[in-house]
Amino acid sequence: MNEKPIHNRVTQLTGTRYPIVQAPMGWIARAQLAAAVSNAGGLGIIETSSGELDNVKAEVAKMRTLTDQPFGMNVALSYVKGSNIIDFVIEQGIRFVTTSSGSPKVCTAAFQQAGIKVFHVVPTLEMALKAIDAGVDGLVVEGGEGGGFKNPSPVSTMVLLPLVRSRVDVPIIAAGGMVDGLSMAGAFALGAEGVQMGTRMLSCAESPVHDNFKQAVLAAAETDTVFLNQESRPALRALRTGRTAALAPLGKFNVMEKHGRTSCSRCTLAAIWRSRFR
Amino acid sequence: MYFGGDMEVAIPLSGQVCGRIDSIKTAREIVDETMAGFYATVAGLAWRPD
Repeated sequence: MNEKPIHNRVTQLTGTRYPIVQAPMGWIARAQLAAAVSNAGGLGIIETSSGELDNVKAEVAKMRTLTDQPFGMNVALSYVKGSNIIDFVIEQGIRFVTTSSGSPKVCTAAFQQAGIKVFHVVPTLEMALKAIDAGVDGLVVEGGEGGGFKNPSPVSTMVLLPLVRSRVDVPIIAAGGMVDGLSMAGAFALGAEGVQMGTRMLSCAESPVHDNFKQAVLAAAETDTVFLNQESRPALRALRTGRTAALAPLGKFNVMEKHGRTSCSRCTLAAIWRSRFR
Repeated sequence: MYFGGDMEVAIPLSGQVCGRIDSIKTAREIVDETMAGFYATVAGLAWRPD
């Protein structure tokens, strides 16, 4: 923690030295990783999306022995149906939650009454505005270049972040594409006051995933992810492997071949437009 | 896959930033280097004559 701290609305709410948050990756965002991030001055987050609440409870207890720094939890409402996840999280005694994949109306007030700050994860402006209506303290604005579960119509951080910033006043944590100081500076220029890193933390030394997974991330180019399940929710972004490449639905139908048999690109585009959208 | 190492048994979630990650670092290195890079980048954005 040698660098100057940042004092802004995000660090005020997280209580951390730096506005750098580790993403709540299912099964991965547990004490070993989250404590390392919190001890480094960022905000470690414990996941609940695995649905393994007994294990999650043990991980939270482990956090208390591994760090005296702040940490948070994530509540993925759609993935923990049937259990009283809100009471469970309140009982863990943390001060900061991110909520995702469900309506923030369900839990925001309950968390806030328990003294917990709530940031809701949003992939579109519409969902950002709904979260604001629900009274959240802040937003995690997540561009479609990010990994994991995604909106079926992914919008890049470059578009989404300034769009949401122009319409809301609450502090924003940027997610999707966040990996280093360059991307953090870019996100701050676009209106964020914090960043959330998933893939970068997945592939860090303290991450519990197998070394093969980390090496696959290191070996991958920027073109080596696939966007899956766009037609049947939830959509998700994953590394391209033999298995995920076979699952990718795109590439069977060549729009340019079927509708583009004209000589210039302008005519081609006009032909596509006429045939597909009129 | 996550913990057993077989990359074909499940779906390895990742963002496009996999293309920008080329070494395993500790969380502390990531956070410190991000903050140093952030401050250096912001300082470099403000162009000043001579």
